[in-house]
Amino acid sequence: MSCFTNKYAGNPGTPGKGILAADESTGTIGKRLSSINVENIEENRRSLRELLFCTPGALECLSGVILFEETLYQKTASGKPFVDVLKEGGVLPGIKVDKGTVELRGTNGETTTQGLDGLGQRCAKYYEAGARFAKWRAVLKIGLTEPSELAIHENAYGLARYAAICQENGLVPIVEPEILVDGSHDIEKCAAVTERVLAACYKALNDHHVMLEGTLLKPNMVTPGSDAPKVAPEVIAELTVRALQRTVPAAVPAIVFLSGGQSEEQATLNLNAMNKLKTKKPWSLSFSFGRALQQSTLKAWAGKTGNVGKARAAFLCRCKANSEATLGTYQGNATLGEGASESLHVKDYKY
Amino acid sequence: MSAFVGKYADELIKTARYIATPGKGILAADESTGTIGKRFSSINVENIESNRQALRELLFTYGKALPYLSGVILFEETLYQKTSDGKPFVEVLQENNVIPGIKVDKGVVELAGTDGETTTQGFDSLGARCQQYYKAGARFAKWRAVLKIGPAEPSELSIQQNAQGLARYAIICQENGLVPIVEPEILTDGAHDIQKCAAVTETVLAAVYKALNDHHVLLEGTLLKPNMVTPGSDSPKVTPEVIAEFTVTALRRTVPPAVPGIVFLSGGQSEEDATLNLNAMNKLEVLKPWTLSFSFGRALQKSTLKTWAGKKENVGKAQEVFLVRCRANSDATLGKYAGGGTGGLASESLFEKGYKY
Repeated sequence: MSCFTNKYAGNPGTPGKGILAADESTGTIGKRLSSINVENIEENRRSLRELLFCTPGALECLSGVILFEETLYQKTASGKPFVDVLKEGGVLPGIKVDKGTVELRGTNGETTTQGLDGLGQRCAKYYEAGARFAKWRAVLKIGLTEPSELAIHENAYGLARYAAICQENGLVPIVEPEILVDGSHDIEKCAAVTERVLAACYKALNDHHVMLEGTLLKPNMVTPGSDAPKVAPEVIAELTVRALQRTVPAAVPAIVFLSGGQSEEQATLNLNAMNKLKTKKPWSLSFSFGRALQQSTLKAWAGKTGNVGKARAAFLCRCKANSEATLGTYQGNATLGEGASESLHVKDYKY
Repeated sequence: MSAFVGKYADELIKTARYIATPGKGILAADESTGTIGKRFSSINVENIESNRQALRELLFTYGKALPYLSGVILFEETLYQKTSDGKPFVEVLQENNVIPGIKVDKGVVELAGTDGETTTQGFDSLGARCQQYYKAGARFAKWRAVLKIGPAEPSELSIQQNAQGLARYAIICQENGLVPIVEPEILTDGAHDIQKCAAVTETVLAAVYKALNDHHVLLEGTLLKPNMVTPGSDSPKVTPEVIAEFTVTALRRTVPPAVPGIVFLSGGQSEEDATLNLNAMNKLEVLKPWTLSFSFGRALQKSTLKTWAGKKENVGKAQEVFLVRCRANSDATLGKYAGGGTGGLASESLFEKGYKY
């Protein structure tokens, strides 16, 4: 048959909810922690995640949380597995399953993503531990001759293979073909590349017999390059939704945007504008934010137990703001925590 | 840029959207001279120009039927023909808000090394021909690609050739002001079940939309003309609701929301079955970001032809019969068809093994 149907087909993508991407690898979380002068040890990594997951009211804004492998097996200070905290809060635990990017020889710094070896067994193990969805980040860039046909093909088919393996093992695959914002290209260029990349992804998913109804898409928003003049959220919304209309079949239940290097507030305003747009949107449009949900929270926490209350207030504020943005009702009046308007763009971001 | 936005872009989008108007559909009256000859011989009518003209006049000038049509696909000869009063057919249609369309392919040829699979020809001077047709009043075009289901079919070669051919045809049309109807017909011939047809349809449509993207086709200015998803002709029948479910699922998995409308071909289905299936699709309670309508040839004309039988005195009666099918299919696009439009002829299967036209 064309697609592999199995007993695991679920129902993600509830309006008013989105995903917290808390799957920073040990290396990446190290960078975050060092920016607030916190030591990168397991206890601190655990404390941060407890701070987030146990924020009263936050879980109501979330349908899922993506975890790094270490976190999947961690517990609260009182000994309750994080996975149970999430489940009891009606939030699905997810797991990052890729093993980072490697360069494609002969290209100008383009990459492919690794992690397929033994992926099936790993997925089965994660399912047993309570995970119900997975995430795999493919990365492309815009340049004079980029993305190349090779990079597009490798990343699209890598995503498709990963997705098929996930579905065989009970995990809903989030398909993430991130096109980096780095560059001085205009928004039309980003739109063209995004459409080309997404078309390749959906062809690859079809070739690999992936059941679209049991997947999510995590794309970049369509924006000008980081070195190009900014545009209004309404423009970003229009070109983003247009790109998706041209490439993403209606069978995909939800699209959960990555925030790239956008500030917390920008990401929320853009998502809100998309949900206000009056046009055909057969999939729900929501968030899967990492930095754009945690930046001001991290700053408020600064690693100190005494700041947990303040940090949780900042986190809840962003959760609620983005929840409203999925409904197109965000008024833009969220109490801006320190750093909420700060761009989180890091050139050539690797994590 | 990803999609080609030339000087005709706004017009293409507007035309495609109009053709996709709920309550309306397309009459496929583009039978080539050879094919219309087969129809005529089945009712003992001579295949001469005046008879071809008389048939089309019968269909295009019945004012009561035209509100149910958003477009009519014509063969080249017909594009330049007139009513017996001397009025160009194109004008008659335009005055009644029916958009003239034109068949631009030149039939199929076999792909050597395959088991009877084909590709479609018609690229030579296609751009120039489209320009001529635009001048003559056409605003959309049609190109039929054909695939079949078999133990090793459709082959990867056949899928690639036909998908690429459709995409190349589509962009040439858009460069010259014509909305391309993209028609990847998968023949019903065979003993396969509906699941097999669904799988093949999804694979073919995925290839088609990848090709359209590669060729920078503006999806908002296109229409899709696919087969419905059904069991093979030698397989047990299923209900319209099952056909509806498999068809709409296949489309939801492959056809981007940017496409404004999907206008089904009838293949060899009887007039009544085609209408019932279309109706069931429109009743299905699932999100459909494109309208679902018809682009029927045989399934709109079969009983009309038999009633006419080439005789002037039968024209009125034949037009009434034609109106019944038009209205029935219009209702079907709204999910409101109550069934039972002139039994007998309407229920006759129009399936012909290995159909070539």
